[in-house]
Amino acid sequence: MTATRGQRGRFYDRASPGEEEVGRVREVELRAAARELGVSGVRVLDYMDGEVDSADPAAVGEIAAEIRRIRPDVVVTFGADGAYGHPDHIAISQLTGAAIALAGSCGRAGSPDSPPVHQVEKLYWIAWGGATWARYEAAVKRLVSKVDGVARQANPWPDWAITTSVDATAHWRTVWRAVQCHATQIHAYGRLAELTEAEHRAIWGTQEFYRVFSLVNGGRERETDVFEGLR
Amino acid sequence: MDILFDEDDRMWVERRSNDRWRVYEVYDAEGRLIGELSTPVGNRPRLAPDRPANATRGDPRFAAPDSRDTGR
Repeated sequence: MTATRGQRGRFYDRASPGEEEVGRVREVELRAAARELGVSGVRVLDYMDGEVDSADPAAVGEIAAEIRRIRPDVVVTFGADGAYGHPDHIAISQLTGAAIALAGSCGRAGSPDSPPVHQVEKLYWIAWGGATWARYEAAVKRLVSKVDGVARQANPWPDWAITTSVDATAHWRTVWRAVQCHATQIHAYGRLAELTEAEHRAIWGTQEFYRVFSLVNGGRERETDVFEGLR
Repeated sequence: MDILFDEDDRMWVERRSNDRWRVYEVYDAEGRLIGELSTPVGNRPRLAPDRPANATRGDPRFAAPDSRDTGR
């Protein structure tokens, strides 16, 4: 599920052909990437790029309805830092947390047609550590933006706070194929296409998360699988 | 060619490829092509040529990907 079509994002290295056209192309890219990753369903909510943090609170209900319909055991979203301070990422993290609470709440059943209550078992935030960010920014660029006059950048999670590290090394080619689908975005990062296989493996091969809550497991030992406790 | 069908949105993605290009076509629930894109196989930087969003099957611009390879 994605909140926007990224309508205001870059469009290769050209001038934007307009929000509608950029959104159309980026949805095509998203669906192609999902196909590479084996994601069987893509849901695009129709919020405006850059304005998710001012979305109507009804957005929580919309996401909650999707959670009740899809009935996932595990949900992954951005962390409170929005990865690198992106306001939309921060907003969707907050909305998703609220939606999980609502989806599992008996007190807000919604319309008679709405799917039954569903309790998500585990919630994760993306939580890259220093080494992961260093590899990524070396290959792409240093991610810095200015929001409300204040510079925001990627702030690596301390190693001790990362609860879950998934070894995705065997799948790095799949991830790279999916990344390549976002052609309008990676066009600016020519270095990505020149990386060696070892460098690709290093960038896409490790995925790190913070376990926000789990109803099925706990403890300080680092997980290697977001489905731990559920299998 | 292989196809991924999204049962929820009734949309689907068709992918075909050769040794140089992967081509994706995305269709909506009514079977209309809403867009397509090409990505290079491997790591070599290569510019995919532009193709119009309203291209249809049978359109010569939808011929084998190699024929559209402008290289770089």
